[in-house]
Amino acid sequence: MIKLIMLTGFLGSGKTTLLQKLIDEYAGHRIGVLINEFGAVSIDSELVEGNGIDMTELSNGSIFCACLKDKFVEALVELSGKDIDYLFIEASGLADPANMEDILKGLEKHLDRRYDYVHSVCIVDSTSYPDLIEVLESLDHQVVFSDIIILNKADLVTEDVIDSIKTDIYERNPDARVEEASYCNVGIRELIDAPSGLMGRVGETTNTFESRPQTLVLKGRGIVPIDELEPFIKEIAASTYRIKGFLETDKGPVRLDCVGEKILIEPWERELREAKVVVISSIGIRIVSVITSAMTKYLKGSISL
Amino acid sequence: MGKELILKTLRHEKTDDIPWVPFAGVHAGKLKGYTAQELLTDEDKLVESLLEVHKLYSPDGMPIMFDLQIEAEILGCELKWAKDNPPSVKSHPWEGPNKEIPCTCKIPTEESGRIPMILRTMRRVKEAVGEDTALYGLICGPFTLASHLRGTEIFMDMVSDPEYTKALVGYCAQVAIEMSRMYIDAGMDVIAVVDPLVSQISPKMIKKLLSESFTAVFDYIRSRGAYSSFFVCGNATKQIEVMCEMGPDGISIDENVNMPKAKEVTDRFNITLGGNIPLTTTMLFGNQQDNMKCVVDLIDSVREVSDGNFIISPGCDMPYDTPIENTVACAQAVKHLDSTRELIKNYETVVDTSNVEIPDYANSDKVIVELFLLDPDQCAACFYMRAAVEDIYDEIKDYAEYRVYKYCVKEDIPRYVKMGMTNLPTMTINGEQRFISLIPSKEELIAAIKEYVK
Repeated sequence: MIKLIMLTGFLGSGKTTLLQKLIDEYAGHRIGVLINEFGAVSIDSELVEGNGIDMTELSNGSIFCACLKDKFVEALVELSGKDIDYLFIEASGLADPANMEDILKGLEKHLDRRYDYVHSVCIVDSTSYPDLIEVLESLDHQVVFSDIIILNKADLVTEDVIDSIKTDIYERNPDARVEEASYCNVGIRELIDAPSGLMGRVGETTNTFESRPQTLVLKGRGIVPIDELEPFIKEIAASTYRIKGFLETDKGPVRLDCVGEKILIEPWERELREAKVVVISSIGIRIVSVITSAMTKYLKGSISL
Repeated sequence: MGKELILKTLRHEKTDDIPWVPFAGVHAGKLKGYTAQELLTDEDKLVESLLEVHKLYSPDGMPIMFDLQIEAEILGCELKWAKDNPPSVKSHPWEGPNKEIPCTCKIPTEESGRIPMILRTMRRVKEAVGEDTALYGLICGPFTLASHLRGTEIFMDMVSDPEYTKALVGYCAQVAIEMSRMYIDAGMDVIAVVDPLVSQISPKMIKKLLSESFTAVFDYIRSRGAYSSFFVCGNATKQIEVMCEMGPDGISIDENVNMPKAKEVTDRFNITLGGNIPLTTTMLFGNQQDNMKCVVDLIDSVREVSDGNFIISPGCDMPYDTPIENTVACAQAVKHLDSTRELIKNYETVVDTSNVEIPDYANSDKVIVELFLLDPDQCAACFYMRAAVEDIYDEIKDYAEYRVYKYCVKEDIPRYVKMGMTNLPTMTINGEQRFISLIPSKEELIAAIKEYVK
């Protein structure tokens, strides 16, 4: 049996960070990784590197959404034929895993080796959870259909906020094991090796076509002046859920990772495969006008939609 | 140069001339004897026909493909094809209970549907005539595309479920942006967002549910350094203002809108106005005189409002069977306004034909080929018709001769009247009208002349 661990969490909550920790922690084991990104371009696979990892990417939608579900199922069948002990799935930030157990049950007959769905870990961004839980149905389902919930970025909020988040989470999912963390610093090995708390929780996924926000890709054209990149990102960030990607700048390659108006632009040591930035809009198609307006002021000619 | 004239006009700069954009969609196929379906599905036929449009109509700008169903077909709508019209949509995959937003994975790519063929055509035409002619890539506007997908229920949705409507139109704007991206990459200078249905929606509703999607498309096109034009059909008098507010570089209207009045509105926004030669009454059923007069009057009426920021074009996609000579007449009028004004005066004058001597064809030793032209230096079709005869003259000179008449030469005009010429250019052989507007190939022409050799 292949132990299957699902990682969910809203955009920018820390899924990739946790995935990196898991890979380090389970070094020496045979590991499969399936990364699902909402945009057409995979950014996270750049971040996760390592030897002996079987990596599969599914982009342009959620794996639980009808349009990618078939590819997800195919990938699960294919991975079941590989020589792996663990399969870590990083679901897209908007994935709704409610029907995961149903999916696994449905494909049992087609698998070379069966999956043991041991844990679903939901990473919660403590700074944005109180606002977003009221808005996003998929976030509620991520909480409800997980057995381990990590309150990440706990150091950035007060104890009162943590308490109220915990209360809310227990109301939704009384059996969950809830852990506080910053930068996903938790004893993840101990959590994963503990017995599964998932017991036949199956619901109907909210990942229909209607719950998909607009996603755009910005392409870097040559060298981007870093002095203009910052004000550019500042101008558009308020209209986004998430901005992430890589660009080549006059100060060398950088990684961008923004959650709402929290902006991170940091040097990137490795060589870039592609200078691209994925933008997930929080204002629908209007994001195009926001970006093109910002482009008339900054980064003229060095970035395009 | 024609292309520069269009681009300058869309940049709202001062120009000496008025640019001319004949919307030869399916009509391009007629020029080469292809049906609409052949034209819209076959790369070689499309390229051949478009080059003929370029040759005959001297356009400053021209569309590559006038078919608003390309995107809908890719997204799963079934099409009904016709011989002399663009296809129509006959099924709406998102109608009734299928009220959803299509998956982003369905957004057209370079590989979808007819797009590979269209992109290749665009590159070939760009290579052939793109240096001096502005090329228009036409995309289906977001609202018309939404109606293709959802059917007529979209009108009810606007009232009962505005959020859904907005989301669906937003999705269609994403499609429009992707189409624009591909077309701009393939060399298109202008992206025409063609949304005939916008004229059916109240300005208030447009602002509430459609504007931000259209604005996104125009903003995207501008960010890529290309120009945008917003085509609408029907009586869009009330909508012109909200259309301007969406920020296109130009707006194009049909005969249902009063041109000078529309110009007053577009001038306030410094947006270029295009239009609006009536498609059927004038272009399809009128004669050359009607078409010249229409263009001259149109230009004069718009100039009374202001100069510049103006493109002359048919109201919309030209009917398949539009007589070639009518389009030639429009081109002639735009390019040579003052002399055309004179020509029309001549048309209207009672002409004394008593001094015209008609050759004695029956008793002539040689076959007599006569060319009844407008001004061959100004009218491309006339130029090519004369060239067709000149090119074969060495081969036929032993048994045939040719004569050239020009409508711009006053002394020639009575002959046109006496010979009953209604469409120009026309080639007669021994007095019989054999080629009207169409330029024969070398073989065709020699064969036709030989029929008359004694």
